[in-house]
Amino acid sequence: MQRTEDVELYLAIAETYQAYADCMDQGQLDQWPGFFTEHGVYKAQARENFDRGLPLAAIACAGRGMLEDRVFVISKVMVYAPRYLRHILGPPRILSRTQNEVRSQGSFCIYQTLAHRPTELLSVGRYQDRISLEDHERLKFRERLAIYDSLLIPNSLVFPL
Amino acid sequence: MVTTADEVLQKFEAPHRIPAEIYTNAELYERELNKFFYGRHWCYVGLEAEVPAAGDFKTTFVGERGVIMTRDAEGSVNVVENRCQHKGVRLLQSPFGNVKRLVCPYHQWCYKMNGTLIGVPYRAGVQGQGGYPADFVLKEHSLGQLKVARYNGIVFATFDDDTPSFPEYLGSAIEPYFKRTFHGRPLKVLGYNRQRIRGNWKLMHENIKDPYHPGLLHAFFITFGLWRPDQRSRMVTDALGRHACMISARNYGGRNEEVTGGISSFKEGMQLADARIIDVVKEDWWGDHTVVMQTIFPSVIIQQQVNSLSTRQIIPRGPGQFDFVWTHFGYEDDSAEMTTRRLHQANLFGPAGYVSLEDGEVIEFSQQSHETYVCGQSIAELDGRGTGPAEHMVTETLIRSMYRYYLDVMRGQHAAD
Repeated sequence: MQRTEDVELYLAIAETYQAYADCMDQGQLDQWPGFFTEHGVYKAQARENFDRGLPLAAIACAGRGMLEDRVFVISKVMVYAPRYLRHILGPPRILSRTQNEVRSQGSFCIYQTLAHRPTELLSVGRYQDRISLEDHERLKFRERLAIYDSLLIPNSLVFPL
Repeated sequence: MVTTADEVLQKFEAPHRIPAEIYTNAELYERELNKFFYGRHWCYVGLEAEVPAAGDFKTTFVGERGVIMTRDAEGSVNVVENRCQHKGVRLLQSPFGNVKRLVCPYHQWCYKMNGTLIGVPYRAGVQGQGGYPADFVLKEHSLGQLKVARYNGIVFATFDDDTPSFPEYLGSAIEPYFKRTFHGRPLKVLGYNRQRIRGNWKLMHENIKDPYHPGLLHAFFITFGLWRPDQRSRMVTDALGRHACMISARNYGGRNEEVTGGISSFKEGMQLADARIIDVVKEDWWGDHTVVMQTIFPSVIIQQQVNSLSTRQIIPRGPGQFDFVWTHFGYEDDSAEMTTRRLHQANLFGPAGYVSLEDGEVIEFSQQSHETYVCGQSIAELDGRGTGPAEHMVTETLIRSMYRYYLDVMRGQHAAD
């Protein structure tokens, strides 16, 4: 990273990662689809599936519609114990860049807090992203894979990672 | 004072009133492991498609015990204890892999893929010193070999050589439904979901023997007509009552006053922005049924929910929790569109599933009370107090049937004991 432009891009990516985490931590789930492009893909996928090329993901949304449906079902339909999430993120890394897309990744560590119970570790893993540079207002995910090492989920994965 | 297993069973007079302590008592739990998971019952191990080539292995559990499913050079599938005969070391740690032989990392005892011990280092000593006694016979120290049943691509195993044949174990009422999913086309693994549910393992069986709850708890199902009590349905159980099938034919959702009236979870007007998740396409092998949920006691649930297929393995981890391992699969000759469809529909299932997440949650809520209100009980009296099959879903007969069998075995009054 030598040019100012590169530094600015890096900072914008770091800011996007942090804004995403804050959105989830503050329970602003309705804003979640806005982090993605119109055809954006989101998956929360066990690392064992990713590494072995198996396509199953615990959560798989292809496009804004599915992202919005997931938000609706979580907010209005499903029964689960209420909880807080807390994302601790490692700094992102840019893996490659083209004219209109950046590939980046970064580690996450997500704690979960339910009422009447000490905080527990929900999941650790990494985001592996393709970020669109086409929208000059805001960076958006063309694809965000949350690849989790914590294969054995403590009961439920209510919110997207 | 600690309550004994026999005292709990004594309180459990009839299968329609279930004492809370059967979900929490440690001695009872040990007896369940021995009678069901390690006794005369077939337990799920995996799919043959997980070990397609010679040398492939999968490590998993029968009850709490680690086992290895292997494919040997002759093409056979073996299930052996994941436990070196020398010092008990777990031989393999990876979930999957490929090896030429099973070699213990500690002292390199070496076994064939079927568990036969073929070599131990320094057997004849070193420079004339040490070594094993002349009467130390290798094959007498082979890995514990479980009896294996292969059925059109799915593999079960049992620690007890006297367990009856697998079809006999399923029973004539269940086997046709089992064979419906496992009809012989080669299977293709789509991937895994694993969760630890903080509840007793039997609560999961109750959940999938309970056609009463989906139309109430699972708003997603009822609203989109995937499972609700105005559908044609059938509850099947084997002669002993241990296994069951919940079978249903889908209707088209919407309002039906008798079914949806007064049910707070019914969301009229709920629309999906992207309906691909319920883009159901009928498959040739379905027949008249769109849903068949099978509980194969004690270790696995076989799911067919429209185009989504999975095995859900139950690995007990003490009285208060179990691991629930989902293996989603399709068929090798599925079109790319069908595979995509199965994967979209998989959003309904697993630890983040629109319906299955709710099951894990309510099981945990039940367990929390059972562990503290130890004198409590569960009621299973919907549709009377009898056992056996039913031609509708307003019933808890399958739960009662399971506990009738459970009580017989646990009290030592059953041949399977």
